[in-house]
Amino acid sequence: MSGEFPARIEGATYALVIDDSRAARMLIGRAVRSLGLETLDAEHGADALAVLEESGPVDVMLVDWNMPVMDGLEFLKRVRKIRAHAGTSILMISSESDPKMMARALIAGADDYLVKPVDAEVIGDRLSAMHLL
Amino acid sequence: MAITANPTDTDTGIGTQDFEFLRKLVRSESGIELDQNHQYLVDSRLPPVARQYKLAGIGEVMRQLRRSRDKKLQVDVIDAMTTNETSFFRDQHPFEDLTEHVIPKIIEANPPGTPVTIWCAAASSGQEPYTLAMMINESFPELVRDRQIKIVATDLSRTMIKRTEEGRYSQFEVNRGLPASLLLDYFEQDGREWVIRQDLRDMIETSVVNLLEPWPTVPKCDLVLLRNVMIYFSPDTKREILRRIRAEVLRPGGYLMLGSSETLIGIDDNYEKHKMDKGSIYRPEAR
Amino acid sequence: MMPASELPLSLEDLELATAEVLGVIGVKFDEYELREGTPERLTARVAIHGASDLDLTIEAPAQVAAAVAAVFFGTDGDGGATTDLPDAMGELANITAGAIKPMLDGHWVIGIPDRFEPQPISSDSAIRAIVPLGRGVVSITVAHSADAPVITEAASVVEGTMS
Repeated sequence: MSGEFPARIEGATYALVIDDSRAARMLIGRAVRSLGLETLDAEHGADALAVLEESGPVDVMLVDWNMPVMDGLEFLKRVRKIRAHAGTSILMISSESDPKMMARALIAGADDYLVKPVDAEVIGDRLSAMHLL
Repeated sequence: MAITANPTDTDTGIGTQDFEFLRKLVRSESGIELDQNHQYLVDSRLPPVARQYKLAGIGEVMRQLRRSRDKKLQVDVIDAMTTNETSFFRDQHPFEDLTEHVIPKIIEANPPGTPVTIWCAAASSGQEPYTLAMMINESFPELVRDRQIKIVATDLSRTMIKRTEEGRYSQFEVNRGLPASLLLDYFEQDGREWVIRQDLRDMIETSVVNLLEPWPTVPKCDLVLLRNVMIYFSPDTKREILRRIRAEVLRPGGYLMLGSSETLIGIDDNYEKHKMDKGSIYRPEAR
Repeated sequence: MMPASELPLSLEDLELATAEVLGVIGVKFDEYELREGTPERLTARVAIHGASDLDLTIEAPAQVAAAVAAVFFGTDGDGGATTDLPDAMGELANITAGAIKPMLDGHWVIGIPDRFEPQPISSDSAIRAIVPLGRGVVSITVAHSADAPVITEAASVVEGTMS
């Protein structure tokens, strides 16, 4: 989704939604916007790194796990090494509910983890706990 | 919460007379006041009861209820109509206030050897008492280690109490409000469900309590959580419950926490409201 | 062909997981206007690899797929245009695969959904949950990959991207 970025809205909270499924990006993006955030999106980890390079840091990233090119776990490891994004809140949202995988995501730098299906209320609770709302 | 995969249920709504009958039944058995705004509950909560009893729809549930006076059906219908929506860390901030301010003050004030005693007065399927249990285990592990904490979870519904005792939740239920780090630390995955650790279940004493009737299983408490329940009661019932909490349950200097959008203004002036970082808490006025 | 009895989950497990997913996503029924060229029924498939290779296939008539698409795309969607429906079905397949995974013993990995035109497959070698949804049914089939239908040219009939 790289390309021209419109100017940032002053004072707005920005979320980057990373999911290879357009259906999931739309649902999560709509949920996040209904909570008052602005959204950017990316189709996989590598795309997300490119988006971040252009857009600069965001306030929160919502990341899927199973994606082509670069999956969510690899993305977490890479993005946490970039100083500008080291402190950004990251919520993983995946259909994987294996506790071992969840633990790996948290160790790799995710702040929290949700299992799909999700809705605005469930996402809102997590963003609120992250003090983003 | 009940999940239906069959949204083809088209029978919606019941007649005015049926709703009146249901209101009276619920009021006399639980003190809970359903008004016209609760009519939607009929459509969302009764179809699963119909399926459970293999009845054609909610109209049939009502006919059966009137005709047979089947006690079990009656209990299941009342359960369905009165069960509270709940989630882990509901509203989030009250729990931060409790760990940061209220519980440390209780520990300080209690004589040594007196366990911190908390009553969740409408515990529903257990998310509130377990949230407290996890939070206390995280912030005050010594209380748990020395068995200086007691959480009493009560509810009107036997089904809900049984769920609390089992401590078993669907993926959907743990998604609502429970941080992944706590899920991993305190639960074990069992198929599609998550079961809370035995030592947390052991922290909680459960019993069925109808707030309109005597409360023999409720001990003297330092803190009472009566969150999002009062909206269902008439003003007189509210006053009486609040009076009894002061007179029968709270230790001197104890605390009462209500839901985030609830207030005692105009209902009971014998409590003092104390502002905290995120919300408020009530304490009986010193006499 | 491997018999259905050798699949690592039961029909009951599949029905439970599917019912829970469909219940939670909260599909709303309406009369959806379908764009010209929308196939009569839509399918999506996702692979689950572990002790063996499984395929989860999901299939629904266009009206039901449109209701599922409405959950994901809301009013932002293109009103049931060719890409929304298959994309929504792909995501539903992914979520359903996630829901059955904890019922399988051992370590399993979920693949990336794709779409395809399914061929008839013997009920002896698959389990299939049929869940009524609105004016139709969703059918979810789990089979060993070796027995699952192959992608045919028909897949290209539906345009749009599904990643």
